[in-house]
Parts: sequence; structure tokens; C-alpha cells
Amino acid sequence: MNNDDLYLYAGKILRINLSDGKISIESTLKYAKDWIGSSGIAIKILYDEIKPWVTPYAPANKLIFASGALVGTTAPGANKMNVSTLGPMTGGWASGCSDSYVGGNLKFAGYDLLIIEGRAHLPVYLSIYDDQIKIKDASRLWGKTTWDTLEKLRKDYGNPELHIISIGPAGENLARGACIVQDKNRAFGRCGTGSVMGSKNLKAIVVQGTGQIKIAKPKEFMELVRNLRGNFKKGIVFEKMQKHTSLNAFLSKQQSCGIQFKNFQECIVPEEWVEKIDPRKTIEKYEISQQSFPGCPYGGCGKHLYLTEGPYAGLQAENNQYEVFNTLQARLAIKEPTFMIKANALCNQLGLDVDAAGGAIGWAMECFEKNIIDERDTDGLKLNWGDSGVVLELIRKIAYREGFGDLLAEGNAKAANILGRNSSYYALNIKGQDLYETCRGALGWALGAITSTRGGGHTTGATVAEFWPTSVLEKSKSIYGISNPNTPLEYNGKAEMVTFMETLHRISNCLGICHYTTTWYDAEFSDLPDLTRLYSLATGWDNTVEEFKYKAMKQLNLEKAFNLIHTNFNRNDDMPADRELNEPIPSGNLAGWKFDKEKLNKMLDEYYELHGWNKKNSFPTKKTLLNLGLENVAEDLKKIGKLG
Amino acid sequence: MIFNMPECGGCKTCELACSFYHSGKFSLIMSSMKIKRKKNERGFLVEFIDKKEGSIPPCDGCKKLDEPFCLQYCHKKEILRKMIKEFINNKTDSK
Repeated sequence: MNNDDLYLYAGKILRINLSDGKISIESTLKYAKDWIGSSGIAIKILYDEIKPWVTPYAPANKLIFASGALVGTTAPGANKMNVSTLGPMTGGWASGCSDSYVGGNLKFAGYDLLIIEGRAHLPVYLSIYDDQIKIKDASRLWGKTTWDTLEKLRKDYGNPELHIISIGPAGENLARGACIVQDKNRAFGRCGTGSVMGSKNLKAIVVQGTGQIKIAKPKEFMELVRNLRGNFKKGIVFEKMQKHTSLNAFLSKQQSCGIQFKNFQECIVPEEWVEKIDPRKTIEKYEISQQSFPGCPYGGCGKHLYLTEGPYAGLQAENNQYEVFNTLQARLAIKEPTFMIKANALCNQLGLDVDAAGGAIGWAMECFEKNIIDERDTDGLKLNWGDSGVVLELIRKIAYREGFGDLLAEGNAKAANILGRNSSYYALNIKGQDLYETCRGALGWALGAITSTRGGGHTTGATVAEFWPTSVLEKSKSIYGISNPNTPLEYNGKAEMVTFMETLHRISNCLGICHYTTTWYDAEFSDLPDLTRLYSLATGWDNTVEEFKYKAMKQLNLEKAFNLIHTNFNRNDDMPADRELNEPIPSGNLAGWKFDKEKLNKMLDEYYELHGWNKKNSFPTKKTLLNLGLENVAEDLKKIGKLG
Repeated sequence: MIFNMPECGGCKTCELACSFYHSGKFSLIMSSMKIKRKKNERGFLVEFIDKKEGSIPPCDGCKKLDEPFCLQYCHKKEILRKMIKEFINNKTDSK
């Protein structure tokens, strides 16, 4: 097949080596049928090309940007772009997605993926306009925030509609938790991909394209898109998302003890705070307009806010997602309701992942509370819970690796190792990455987070369906194929739920579909068969749900193998953080609940059995890898003694 | 012709749909409507192209269809409908 017969895909992979300026092109078709797109193709390339001796900041590491396969079409939620690399937080697979206009532009420029290799001798940025690829001097941009970088490039290009991705000072200074930001307010979060971009002296990427995306069966495709869009209004969360974005989760998280107050010491915010701190009221008060991305069936989970009063009056920014409320505002016990907006904006300007900031600062504040550190360690700062000024200063210090911030920029797990003083207990992390997910009291959510190949996270297997109401129980049963999907405290059935969700999350990422538009989030939204049908109609390749499940498991096993080659992870690394494992929930509706270690281990056993992984060490077995067509991977793991 | 649309979230799905109507493919340069940013103001601007500009076709209000294609992908379709009507009326009047 040549590219003239290719539908949906742009057809090309663009490879740019920043060390020698070499630019090359290869066909997406080499990978598309087996690995679908985006993060699937990216892990295949990373696995094949990153040798075991490569370290995250070495020029030999590769940073891969990829548009989801359905991006550039009107498919519901099709706007996600992915970045994958060997990451500096866990030392293994690093991957994050972001809402995007850039993803569509990349495809219209003719490319499904962009592979960055090597390291530029001086700061550079990339300018991609169809087949005109330029590596340009970024010395005037280096040091600028992501917001200033965007403004400067829009001015330079004379194009106020220009969309870019960039890093801020955090990425330039190799803060391990640095992220990559699209325009001003959307980030490729988690895993420290921004610092890998910084290590390559790559400040920004500008993409413009005039090409087109062809659809194999256009009439049926557009009809399906219209039908799927019509389903969204039936969803329970539809109006809540429209009105309050993902911050709508606040009260349900408070009721289910899913909040990490004071670094997970409590699992709710104090009841007397609820009225004042309720983030839904905050966005209602300061909203000036919506923000949405291509294909969004809600009309936007983003709100532009203008703070007209309070300590941050004058700030105009897009609202944060719920995660920021939890990881920075609640975790650090800050009462000022607009703090989450300010902290989110500052992290985005500096290019620092919000969870990396919250994780490290939460650890430091608890260490300060417990007299493990004092002002001699912290550049004279008093790290008291609730001190918003100190938190903002620490965020800045992390981004610039200044003073005490240099330690926090390592992420809480490594910072605790460096500091010693028995501080590791307070560094809540999974596989070395600062933990965001509150695992106690939600077993499907917990299992997805603890086994995640990227080190925590709730977008690679964690399920929220365990909290769905009984009104959608039958639908939920049919999605998960178990009898009790709505029981967050039951261990039984969670391995099946997470295994299904690992597939849905991966397929969504490969296609560039926002998780808030699938049955991850609401029973009425696009399900795996819908996504399969969209892809089949768009490409003209008949894929079945079973084939998609097979490909998703193949991808998961490759992520796992990539981790086994580059890290020492084993079953012990698929466990909750010590505090979560050992302490009961102290107050709230689930007061007294704690993990039953025997049942937790049995749940993990079931999970490994479902995957065909060895229960002792979590390694994939030869049979599993052969069944997935990963013979070379089986040989690789055998050589290093990690075949299950 | 440019309209102010404070209610627009800027998803630009209408642009993609518009290009599909004209060319049977998705392409940013084949859309006869453009969603443009405003500086520090609510919403976005909606521009309808009234004369062919290079490869960009003019908006004809999707006269071959019962309902303009872009409306089928817009959350604020009634507001957009009024704009298209005004644009087409204006175009007809000026002939």
C-alpha cells in the first residue's frame, strides 16, 4: 500500500536529530496496523531504539510526540496528543497526553509522529510548516516562561492563532517533574517529559499545516460521529462537566474520602472548610468564557477565569482540572479558594507538573511539621501547612532548582533518599513518581494506580465506574463483564475492571480520544465498540473489539518489558505507598477503613493471572509474550533473567 | 464577515466539519469559516468567507443541505444559525 491509499493517517513520521541537524522521513504504515497510533507506536519505537544503557537526559534518549489517529477529525473528543520517552521520574516508560490544537496541525502538516533525537548544541526551537522543517535559534526564548514564549512566537510569526508546545524554566533546569505545555494552559503532565525536552536544548515546537485527512467511508463515519455526539446528553456527568468541569468531583471525593489533605494524613478536607473551599463555586464566580478543543462534545471542560478580587486579583487563566485542587490546594491545606487557579497558572508558566510540585512540597511540609527538617534546610522558609505564599515560592524554587528547591526538584522519592532522616515514609510515590491518587477506599482506582506502568496515575487502568450510581448498574455490568462493578470496597472483580480499563485507556490514547468522553467517565459515552467502529470506518481497515483488546495488551506488555529493561521494578513496586498501606482512613464516611493486605495481595494475584504474568515477580511469561507476537521481547527478558 | 460570539468555546469542530462539507476531507485550509481568538474578551470571533480566497471556498450556507453542516457539530447551534442567516442575507442583499 502506498500513502495515496492511506486513510485517516497523515502517513509520515518525521525524525529530527538535534545533534547533527539530520531530518528524515519514514512511513507510518510500518507501525500503524500493529500499534494503532500515538502512544502505541511510540512505545514500539522506544523499545526498539533505546538501548539499555541509555539514561533519560542522554542525547541517545528520544522524545516522541504523536497525534492520536482520530485527531484532525470531528470524532468526539479527538484532540489528544501524546508525548513518550524514557523518563527521569521512574527511570522507565514515561508518557503523557494533552488536549491540543497542535496535534491536528501536526497531521495537517503531514506527520503522525515527530521523533526528537540527540541534543542541540545551543537552545533551539522547531518550526514545521508542511515539508519546510527548520531548526531555529532559541537563545532569545531560553529562560522565558511558556506564556511569554507563546506571546513572543505569535508576534514573530505575525499570527495570533499560532499554536505551540514549549517548556518553561523547569524543563530548562531539568527539574525532574517538568512538563511540556501546549499554548498556555494545557500540559503533557506527569513523568517529567519537559526535562527530557530541556536536556535536548529544545525550547519549543511550532507546527502549521495545510494538508488534509481522508476518511475511507466518509458518509458512515460522519453519521456515526453525529450519533455518538447525540449520546452525551444522556450521561449523568454531562451537565456537571459543562458547568463545573472536572472540579464537579469535589463533593463525591469528599464523601468517599478521596482527598489527600495534609499529604494524605487525612482523606477529606475539614467539614467546616467545605463551604468556603468548594472549587465549583470558585469557577462559577470568576468564569468569563468557555474553552474547548476539537471534537469536544461538552463544549468545553475549560473555563477562562478572571480573578477580580482577592490575593491574585488581575490573574486571567484557564481553570485547573480537579487534580490541581486535590494535589496542591487540599494536599497543602490551603484555604484561599482561588489559590488553585494561581498555583496552576504558575506551574504552567514555569512548565512544572502540578503533581510533581504537590508531591514534593507535601513531603517537605510534613517533614517540617515532624521536625525532620527546619529553617536551616529550607533557606529560612517556614513550611507550615496552609501557607500559600511559601508554596508559590517553593514552586518557583523547584523550577529554577534554587536552594531547597534543588532537592524538591528531584521529586519526593529521590529527595527523601538524598535527605535520609527516615523521611521516606512521607514521600508518597509509586515507582519513584510522586503519587496523586488517593488509593484507600477505592480498590479499582487503587489497583489501576499501583500497577500503572508509568508510575501511578489514573489514566492507564484505574476505574471510576465503581462509584457509578445503581441507575447505570446494568450497563456497567455489560461493560466490565462482572456482577459487582459498583462496589469500591470489594476486592473481588477489580482485576477484571482494571484489565478492561487498561485496554480502553490505551485505545483512547492511541486514537487521541479524551478519556472524559468515553465509558471510563460515564456509562453513556463512547465505548470500546464505538471507538473500534470509528477507527474502522475512518481507515477502511476492519478491526474488531477483540483485535483492539489484543493490540492494547501487546502495548501494555511492551511498556512493562521496557520498564523491566530500564529499571529494577518487580511486584514490590506494584504496592500502595507505605502510609496508604498501613494507616486506616482517620475520619469521614470511611473512617477506620484500611487495606486488608491478604486481600490486596490476592487481588494482585488475580490481576497478574489475567495478564499471564508471574505472580511472584510480576514479570510476563514466555507464553504470554509469544501469544502477543512479542518473541523478541521474550528473548530480551530471558537474557536479563526477567522472563516470568 | 466577522461576528462576535461570546458563547463560543473555540473547539473549532465547526471548521473541520465545514472543510468536510466542501472537500469530503478534513483540512484547515478548506474551511469557509474561521474561529479566531479575541484578546482578553469573552468567547471567540466567527468569520465567514464570502469570496473565494485561494483554495478557501466561500460560505454558501450549505445550500445543498437542510441544515448547515457546521451547525450539526456546534453546542451553540442556534446562535451560529442566526449568524449564518445574517451572513447569507447580507450576501444576497449586496448582489
